[in-house]
Amino acid sequence: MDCYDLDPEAEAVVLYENMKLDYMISANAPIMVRQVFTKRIKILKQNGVGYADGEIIEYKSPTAERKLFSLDAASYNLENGKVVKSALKNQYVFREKVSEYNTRIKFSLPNVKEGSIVEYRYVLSSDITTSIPTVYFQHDIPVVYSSAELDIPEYYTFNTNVRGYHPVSVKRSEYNSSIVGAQNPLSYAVREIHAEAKNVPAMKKESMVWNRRNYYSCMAFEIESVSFPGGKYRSYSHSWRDVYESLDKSSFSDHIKMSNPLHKEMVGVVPADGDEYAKIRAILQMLHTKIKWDGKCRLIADSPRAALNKSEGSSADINFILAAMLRDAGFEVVPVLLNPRFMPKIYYPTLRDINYFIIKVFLSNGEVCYVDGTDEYSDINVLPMSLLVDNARVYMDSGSSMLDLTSLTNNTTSANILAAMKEDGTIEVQSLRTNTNMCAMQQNSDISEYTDLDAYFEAKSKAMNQDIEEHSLVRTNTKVQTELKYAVTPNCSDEYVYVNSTVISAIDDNPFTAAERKLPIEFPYPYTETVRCTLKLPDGYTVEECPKSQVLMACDGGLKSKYAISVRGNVVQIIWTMSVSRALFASSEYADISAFFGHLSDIGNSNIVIKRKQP
Amino acid sequence: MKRLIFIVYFVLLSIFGFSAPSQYSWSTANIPDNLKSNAFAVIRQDSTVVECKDCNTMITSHVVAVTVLNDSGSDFADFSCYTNRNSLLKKFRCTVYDAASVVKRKLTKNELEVSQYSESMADDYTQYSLEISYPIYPYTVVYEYEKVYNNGYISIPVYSPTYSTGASLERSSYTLITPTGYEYKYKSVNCDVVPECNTTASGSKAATWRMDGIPARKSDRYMPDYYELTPRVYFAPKEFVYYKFRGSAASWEDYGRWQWNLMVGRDALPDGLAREVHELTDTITTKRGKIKALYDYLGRTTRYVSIQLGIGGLQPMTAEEVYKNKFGDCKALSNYMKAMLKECGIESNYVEIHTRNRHIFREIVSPVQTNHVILKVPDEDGDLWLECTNTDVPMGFPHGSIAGHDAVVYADGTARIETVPISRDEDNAIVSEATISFGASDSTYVRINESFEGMCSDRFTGISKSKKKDLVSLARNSVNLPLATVDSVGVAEYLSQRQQPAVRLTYDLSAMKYANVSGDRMFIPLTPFGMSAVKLNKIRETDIYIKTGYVWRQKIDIRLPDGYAIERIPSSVTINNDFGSGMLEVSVSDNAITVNIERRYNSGTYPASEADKFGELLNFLPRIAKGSIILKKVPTE
Repeated sequence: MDCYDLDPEAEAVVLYENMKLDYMISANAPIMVRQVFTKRIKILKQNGVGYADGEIIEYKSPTAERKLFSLDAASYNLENGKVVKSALKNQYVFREKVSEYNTRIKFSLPNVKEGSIVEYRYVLSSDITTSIPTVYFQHDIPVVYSSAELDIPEYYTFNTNVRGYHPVSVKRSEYNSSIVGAQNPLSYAVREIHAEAKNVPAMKKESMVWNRRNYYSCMAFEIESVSFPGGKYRSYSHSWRDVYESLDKSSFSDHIKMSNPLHKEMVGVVPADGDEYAKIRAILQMLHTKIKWDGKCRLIADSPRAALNKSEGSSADINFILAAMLRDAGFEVVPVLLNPRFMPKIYYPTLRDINYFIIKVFLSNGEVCYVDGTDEYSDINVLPMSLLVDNARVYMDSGSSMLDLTSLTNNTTSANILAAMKEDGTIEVQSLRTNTNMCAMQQNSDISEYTDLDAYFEAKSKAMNQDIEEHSLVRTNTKVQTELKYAVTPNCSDEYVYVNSTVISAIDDNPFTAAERKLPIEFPYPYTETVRCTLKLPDGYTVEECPKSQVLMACDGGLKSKYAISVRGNVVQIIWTMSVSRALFASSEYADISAFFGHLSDIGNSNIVIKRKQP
Repeated sequence: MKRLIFIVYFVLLSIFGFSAPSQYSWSTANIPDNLKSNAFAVIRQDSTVVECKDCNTMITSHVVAVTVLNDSGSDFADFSCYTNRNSLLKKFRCTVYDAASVVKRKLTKNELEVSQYSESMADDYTQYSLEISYPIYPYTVVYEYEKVYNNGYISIPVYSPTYSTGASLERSSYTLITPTGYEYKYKSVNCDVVPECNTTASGSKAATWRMDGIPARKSDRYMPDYYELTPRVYFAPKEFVYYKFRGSAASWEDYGRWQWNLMVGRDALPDGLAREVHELTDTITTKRGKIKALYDYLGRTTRYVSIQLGIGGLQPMTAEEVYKNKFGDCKALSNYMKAMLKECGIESNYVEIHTRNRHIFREIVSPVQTNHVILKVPDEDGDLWLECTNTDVPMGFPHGSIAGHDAVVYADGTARIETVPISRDEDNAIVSEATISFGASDSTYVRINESFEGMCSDRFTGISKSKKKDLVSLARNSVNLPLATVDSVGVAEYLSQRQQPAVRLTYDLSAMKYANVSGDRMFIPLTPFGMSAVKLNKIRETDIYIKTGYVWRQKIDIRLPDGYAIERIPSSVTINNDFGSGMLEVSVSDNAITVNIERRYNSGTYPASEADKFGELLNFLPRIAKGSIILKKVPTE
């Protein structure tokens, strides 16, 4: 094979891949899990030779170990009509301890070039019996055949979950085995799972996806129970009720009920009575001055109080303290479990896959709101972008539905523009832009990238390529108002002035120019953008032609835009709005999205033709 | 990449301070205002004491105090220290102070993150790191640590207490303590600090350099490289021991002899390879033809794998080992190519170079001034510089990461410094041609022909191996069209008339909405090729540095649609100054409009005082190119 017909430009292809997993049960030794990985890759192009480098992760903690038992690898080349095997040498197997419990083993196969087949087989041995790593059938290069064979004794019950856009077929069967070395042979049933995928396309990188791995074809495993004859039955969390029970038995339960470590500090700072929103904001503000997020997403905390003493803690440390502060202020609160968008989606109700929680607050008027303490620019219902997931779960909720956090607020960016044209065609622009909620949070976060506001406005001036004559900015975490004064120079001729359809070139280029799309499109958050502009013309100047007022809609109303223009005397009024009403769009909607933004860009490039006063 | 570069980078990042920090108050009220300007962080103190006990043992003690002024400054207070087989982190402590200099937190070595994670296939390094978060700004983080080199060292840490942008320096010092008889050289770069010299109680020599009160610099476009701006002092021991190999760094010649000895005998070819070399080249009559055959063979049969263990960080893997494995790093592949060339009677030179920094200081030997190895083939028709880790680079042409850079060239058992040639401005060109014709209902056909010559082709290295979908994406992003599909795309790599590497891209697009129709008028963009404006800082702090001069010529032929007449075409304009020139010319003939745009930048370093003039050139064409050709419907009778 010189070329893989289904992807003729692939630099390499996985010809065969298999993972075999079985349990080794003997009477005289702990139960071990053995995983045998075999992979055969054909290097189709010289720039695919990097696929001859491999890596394996070993794990060793005080209580568990997954260890490399053996590794055999070789490259095969057809030379002078004969297959020449070049085996991996030990000197090119390297180990590096990448973290406290993980060691990475890297290897590089010899004699690899275009046309080579590389093959490796390694065995991992593990005493971790209740967790099976996810098996991926899809990779960055295409796969001809990939399979997984798992032999799981009846004592262990796993739920399986197959996902990804390329199909994976799964067959199940059962056979009997017996415990090795037992005086009285004890037989047990073994459940066989055979999963395979054929002709799996390469997974390509695409923009606007938080975590590409969420879309790979794969099979995930979740332990449901362990039960040995005569032994205790142990159930693992596989329903939300089980998750809650597990959390209830853990430190989570203590921490969510802990007393407020900032009780004294709150006195006098957080109002005892009055507006509940003001109270919550005061609590958030105080929290941000007491502890800083260390960047770690955690569901369980070691010690929120110790973290507070260090002034630094994980998301769990911070949100446990936040919950305590809110309860101390008289609010009823409950955690909301989730995984941030850059992590794997929650498919199972399982503690292992949940890494974060925020706080739901019940207000006296029956409403609820959501808060998170990790980002100083967040606010009530204005959460860090990565937490705007559509599958969060309220702790202790017995219902079946998941909580959608993607649209908690109306996120708007609106510009009010007063523009006045001078005789020479130059337009003096006074713009007041108001960003609210998530749009405000994003702007606040942008501003924090600069040493001060002057530096921020200098950067803004560069981005706009405009000299900004005057600027001012007023901000809270939910509203940022930016006032700018600058001059725009439109195209002119002796007879006409050609002014951009929104005067200030508000509509960007089409960001969706790729010809096709495989993965869903994940917008940061739903939002609405508005420009209202009043353009005053000099006396004697008249509008000869202007763009048509028009409405655009796509994706069942998921994307909407309206452009309206009217002329009264020497005043032109323009209103343009554009809204993205949901965060997630399917890949099948891509063509419509591309067309929508293309048309929007066309409106943005259209012109108002103004006839100058003739002498 | 050579391993040594990592040593220096990490040492650069981690050389901070000496002297008991407790004698100072870290109150942020003490920070002079000029040090807060443009700063995310202030390096309050950066003190280093380096004690060279002998050629085998060196102890470096550091105190670094960083005041973080806002969220974006926290990275400046991160700790990172690398050790290897020859070195260890012996002592460490960290204290966090609030704005009033009150201790808020103390950390010990046990709280450091430790990892051997490496981007290479293998190296010897262990990284110790720490990131501190504190909720109220400003706060100050003070690190005190000691690193011990106990099995030889090839270089003495560089004194480099400043950052290119974003952080100011309040005070710093660097003390080098050496025993009697220990000789070293030093060289100040971008500064003229001189040491205060003393004798310690034990009779050792102590020399102290200081740099204080350096404000933060603001990032700007066309800035000279970091290494051309930041003040530093380099040191070189006269004699050194490195992995038990003893050498001298008194001069590049001495150092060259040491490195040469590391390479002796490593170019012996196994019989199989020698046979292949002859089979490939014996029938080729020209020297260049033979080199090309071997260069292509190298690319066809080997791959880059970085293994930097022990002396292997400087000593190349043998040619025999590369032949067996068919992989190696830049040293190994260059040595391998050198060995193959030697087998067919062509001499070449092993060359060390830095892929980012242009200058190697001739007066001071510091292997950390290089981080890569290439091969030079002397030739009377012009020397060839071979990039053996990527044979997609056209043979012999220095690519953008090495062109114009100083290099350590090994020959005749020693080394000398040479400068790799760089193409002349006139060799570097982009020619973008577009033919635009309009069809029915907003459809437009755009045929593009773009060629990139000399350094302008550098970013397209290996493009002819690209997948079609990547070429389509490249074509789609090359033009500024809101709705378009790429109908066909072609690519060719060739030598330009000026004998420079060149790439030609041709593509056809079907575009909707190329021109904007509003009522009776049609607005046609002057050019489909994006021309972004660049605005410089209001106050220019550094010289203006244009690394690569080039010309970009655009020719756009627009076939006018039926039923329209020209209402407005932009006037022809030109600009010309020391930095380059710009020109727009629009001509009309029959049913077509031809737009010619030319932008030329002249390479060089220009004073900051000329920034306004440069800004004028930068924005001249982008501003004009935003305009449109305006057509108006001809009234039908």
